[in-house]
Amino acid sequence: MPFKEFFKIHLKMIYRNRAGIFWTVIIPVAIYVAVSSLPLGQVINADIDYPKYLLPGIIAMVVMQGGIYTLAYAIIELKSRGVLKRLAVTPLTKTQFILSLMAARLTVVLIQVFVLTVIGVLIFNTQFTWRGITIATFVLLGGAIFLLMGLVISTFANTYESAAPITAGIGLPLAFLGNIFYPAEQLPPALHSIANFLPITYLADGLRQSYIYGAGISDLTWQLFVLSIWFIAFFILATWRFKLED
Amino acid sequence: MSSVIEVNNLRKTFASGHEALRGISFSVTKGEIFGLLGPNGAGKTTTLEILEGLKQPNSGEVKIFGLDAIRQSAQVKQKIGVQLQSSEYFPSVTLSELITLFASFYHKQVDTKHILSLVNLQDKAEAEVKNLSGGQKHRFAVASALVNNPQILFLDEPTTGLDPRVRREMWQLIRKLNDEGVTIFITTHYMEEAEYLCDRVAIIDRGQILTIDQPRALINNLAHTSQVSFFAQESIDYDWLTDVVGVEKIYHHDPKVIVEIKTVDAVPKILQALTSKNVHFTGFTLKTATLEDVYLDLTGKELETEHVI
Repeated sequence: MPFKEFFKIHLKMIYRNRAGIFWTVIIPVAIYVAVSSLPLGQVINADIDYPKYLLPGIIAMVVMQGGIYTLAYAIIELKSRGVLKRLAVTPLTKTQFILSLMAARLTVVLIQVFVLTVIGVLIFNTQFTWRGITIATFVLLGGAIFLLMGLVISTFANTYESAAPITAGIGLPLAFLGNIFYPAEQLPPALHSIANFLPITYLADGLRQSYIYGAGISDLTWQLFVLSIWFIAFFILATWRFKLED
Repeated sequence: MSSVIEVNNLRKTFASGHEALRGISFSVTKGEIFGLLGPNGAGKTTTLEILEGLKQPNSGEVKIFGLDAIRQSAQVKQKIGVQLQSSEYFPSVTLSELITLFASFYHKQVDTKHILSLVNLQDKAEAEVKNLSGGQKHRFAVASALVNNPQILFLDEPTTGLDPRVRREMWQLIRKLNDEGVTIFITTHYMEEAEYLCDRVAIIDRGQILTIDQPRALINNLAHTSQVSFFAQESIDYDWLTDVVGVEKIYHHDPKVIVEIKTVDAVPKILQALTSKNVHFTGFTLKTATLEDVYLDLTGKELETEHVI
């Protein structure tokens, strides 16, 4: 029951924050439209047009930002205003809090992905041979990793000012190394070997294969395996680090 | 009467090395309003946070309803209600939705209108916390602490930052809840509030409890229970007033003369003495001792002026 009520409250907070919704939809769309028009298509691969290549990457980026930026700031806000402490004096457990929060945020991320996909199809008239279940699996697993990452970041900062350098320090390298705008293989070897460890690389790759080539879960077991390792690692880290009492 | 809270030799030293609590002990009786008094930084909130399960002590024992509040804090949390100093909640959520949410933490379904009516906020059920006034926010914080029908209510400085009229409304509310059988544990740095509300108070300073008793008893135990003061026309020595029966001490900050007295019986004698010596004076005032005098007597220092939030 705490899970269900809290899930509803989280969704209401997100839904009622109209300005927040506007920007979480508008910014990725604007980035998608702007970057699509760049002549990057010639740099990467001639047989796929660039808007088609980019869309799964932008979706991976949205999934990542929903966790690292949006969630970390939301938690720090609640912490600094003493709301988490108020929860800590009730029988609510941190696991109930974390799970309901993740469920609500993942629901929003799925909606964002749907909107972006529709825009990609309508504006750029892109033909995808997608697989819905596979895409949803990657979005949910990737989303969970980055939400937990945001939760872990929030335990290292008590104010927006101290969180901003941490989120930027983690978010920017992930965005530029992680297969979002161009293939990780085209990075210099040193950076490429870093990219090979990052969850975003596998999330973007899995989504791209599924969107463009219709790859299913059985074709993407390696990507799912690496993401699962990241998920387990951050789940352990988040449940260890995060405390309502802080 | 049985005690519902038992605290024994509680110690807490922070990582910074600051000794917040240096072995405090007290017990709270079922049905009473127990006040923990002291200046900012005395250890009030630390004590409260250990009782509520927010902080771990270094040593000592806390029993609430016979449960070990340090190791069985999950069970204790089911039975207590807590109002924290900060009365902030989730943004964009109505009072009635918040009450339903908090009730769900205890696996309870409540009549939100009824809970809000306990603190006279039933008309604000569809408002958000950010649209409430300061007093209403504090009252809502109490309402959110009542969803599980607690037997003990912890209130951390419930009237700090409120104007005097709203403060009195809070006092009425706390009295009403206590009349309905809720044991109240309250911290405050307002002596007047403690004197008005509390059945018993513990005065804490620098992590140690200086005394525990009923406010009246503490005041009556003072060497002086009252003081008279006046403005003297003549700048002369007034030490001869100590010869008047019942006078304890004289303070003379020209032109003001303060005379501490054991009982009010000394007042006519002082007036008589002044008249017979032909002293001219104005602004003759009699002031009964308050808990503040007890505090000053115990700590030998002025209370901090109240901070504004």
